[in-house]
Amino acid sequence: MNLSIKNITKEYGAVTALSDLSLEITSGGVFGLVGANGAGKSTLMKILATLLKPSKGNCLLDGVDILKRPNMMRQALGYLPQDVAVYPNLTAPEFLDYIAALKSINAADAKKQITMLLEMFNLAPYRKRRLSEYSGGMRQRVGISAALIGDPKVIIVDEPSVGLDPEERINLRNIFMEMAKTRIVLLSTHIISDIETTANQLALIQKGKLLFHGTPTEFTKNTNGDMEAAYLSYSEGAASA
Amino acid sequence: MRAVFGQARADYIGKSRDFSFLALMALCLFGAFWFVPREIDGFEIMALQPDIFIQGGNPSWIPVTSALGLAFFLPFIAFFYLRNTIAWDEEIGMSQLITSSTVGNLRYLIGKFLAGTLLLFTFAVTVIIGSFFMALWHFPGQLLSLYAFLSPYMFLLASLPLCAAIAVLFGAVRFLRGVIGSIIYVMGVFVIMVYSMELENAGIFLRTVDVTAISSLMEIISRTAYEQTGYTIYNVMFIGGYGGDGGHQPTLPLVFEGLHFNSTDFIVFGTMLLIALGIVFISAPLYGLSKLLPKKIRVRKAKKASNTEISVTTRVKLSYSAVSPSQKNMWARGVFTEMKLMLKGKPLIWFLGCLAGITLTIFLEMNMVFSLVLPLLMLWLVNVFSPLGNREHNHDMLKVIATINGGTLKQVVYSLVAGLLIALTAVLPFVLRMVLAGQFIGVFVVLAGVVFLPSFALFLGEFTKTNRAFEVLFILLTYAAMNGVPVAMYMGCYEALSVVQGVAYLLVGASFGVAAILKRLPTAL
Repeated sequence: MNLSIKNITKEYGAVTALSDLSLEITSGGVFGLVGANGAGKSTLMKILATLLKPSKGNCLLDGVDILKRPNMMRQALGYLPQDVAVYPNLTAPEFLDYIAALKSINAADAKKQITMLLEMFNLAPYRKRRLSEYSGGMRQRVGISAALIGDPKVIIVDEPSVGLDPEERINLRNIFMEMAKTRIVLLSTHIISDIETTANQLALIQKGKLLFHGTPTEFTKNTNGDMEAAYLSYSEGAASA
Repeated sequence: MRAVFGQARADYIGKSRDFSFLALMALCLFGAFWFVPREIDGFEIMALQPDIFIQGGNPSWIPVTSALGLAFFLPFIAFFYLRNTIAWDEEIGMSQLITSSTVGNLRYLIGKFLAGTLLLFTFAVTVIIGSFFMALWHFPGQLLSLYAFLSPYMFLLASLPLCAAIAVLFGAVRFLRGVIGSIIYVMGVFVIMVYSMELENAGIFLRTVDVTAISSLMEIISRTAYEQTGYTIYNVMFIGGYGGDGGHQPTLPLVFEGLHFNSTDFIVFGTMLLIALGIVFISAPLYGLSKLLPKKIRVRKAKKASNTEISVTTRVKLSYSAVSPSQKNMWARGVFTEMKLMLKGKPLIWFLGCLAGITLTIFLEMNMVFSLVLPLLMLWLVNVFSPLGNREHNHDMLKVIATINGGTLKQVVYSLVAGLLIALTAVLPFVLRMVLAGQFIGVFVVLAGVVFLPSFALFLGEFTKTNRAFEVLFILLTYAAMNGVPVAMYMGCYEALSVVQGVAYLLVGASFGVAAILKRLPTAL
């Protein structure tokens, strides 16, 4: 699969959140989107998730313009927003079943997949508790499960590791790496270590502009493999320019 | 003082945003409604010296009866509603913040007292306004003067600070927060009520400690009756039955022209307020002592440990099997999941209440079902319908739903159909009963109401993004319907079932539903 972002610009009045940004994202490995808070990552994610329309440019999923035909993207999409949204008076299986019903997945299939997802994200022991009793990290895992319900060919996750403990972070990375073999997985974060060992491709955005696009090896070429140093080097370079 | 008022304001706002506040306000309003003087077969309401004066159909007694009606249950509502606020502050850690600040126990409790008094005042004012409209609807052109209308409520308003202060005392002393405190309070109020109902007991002492204000109201009713008729009233029957078999048949009407207060009444007002303040002052050191006592800690039974282990050092084997969207029975599944969401978390008592209401629609007379049972049954369902159209906004779920193919549109339609099905389930036995009785216009009108109700909720929820608009408007609509305002009878009126009204509500309901769906359309495309 191929997701092609062409010359995207997003303006909010006088503020430019994204400026003439172009990227090619393919399946076969996790694509990491890195940038400081307010760099424009979430705006890009929302555009790709068909929640926002850009001011200029277009986005093609396997050659189909998703801005003109958003349902093409929605049929293939699993999306985790930055702030996980849940219905607090439901249990995790009930909530996931609700999402499955909206995704038109029949009850039997949904039940099987929900059981698997709860096991994958270590939520099975808490399946009878309401989401209002869950910690932030547990809710995050429920949100990721909701994104993975069905068979999304494009997975877009915005800051997925927020609130997760180290064990769960590693678990999550492994899951995304596995899924990315046959799917597009676009992971946005401002935590470099989240993508250090996971991403095959990464893009660095600052103030709505693309500073780097390539492999992690290319990214750290001048810093002996040090991701954070490379990140700072690119950011400072852009600031001084 | 700023700390006290700031805290009282925060407490008042916090409480008033709860659904329970609205529910209790509705309870007060509808509770007062029951006791308005009306001609009801087999019952007499507000009979003075029961075999002489009866006030059924006499509009001048509306404020007296609604004040008395409120006096019977407001002290209980006040106590159980306000007592837990201090315990709640302790649970959420607010009391730690207050203890570590310079506010101090006394100012903290005065804040609670003010907020409580204001909340009760809001309930009372709601009933006063409701009773005013009730008088307008039932007896057009027969209005009392403003003074005559408001005067019976004065004693009730004077008792509110006392109610709030007692709730503060019982909330401040940990020992009195539980069942023991409830028993002491309830028994105490019952004893006062029993004494208050006897006119000869209405001395100044009883009147100043009477949280119900019944003794003052009874005494002043008797005094007013004597001033106007010369009769000495020994007995007031608030509500009671009479049979046709030799029972008394009171006949004389007595027009109520407002209460005439004397100096004793003002002494009672003042003393009640002083007692209330005294209780709050006593509560402060008791609260301080109470905080020093060891807290009873409830130990929860430990959850069974999970057997699930996750390997974190090696790559996990992805146990994820792909599933594809299906087109089979998805409508039914979608509607069913929405229904589950709407009914989730409702306590058993709520379902029992529904069952009781539905049962009454089968057995009570049809006119009674139309005028009282159906409106109350639908009102019981208000918190099922009120999240329609706004739940997704309030929980920020639209950003997820909007990324699902056709998600926003499907969700809004599923939720509307789920609402229709719940409303239909509630009225179905009654509809079948009407079909068997050949009341086809009635069937049509009730079904129009079934379409109107969830559509109205969805429309308001979608456009206002809050459940409060529907809750308030629907309570007012029900109140008007129960008071016989024709245009408000969204499920019709038995005496005058009208196809036109049914068609009107059906069209309005359908328009609301379509408008809500159209509002969602841009996000779905």
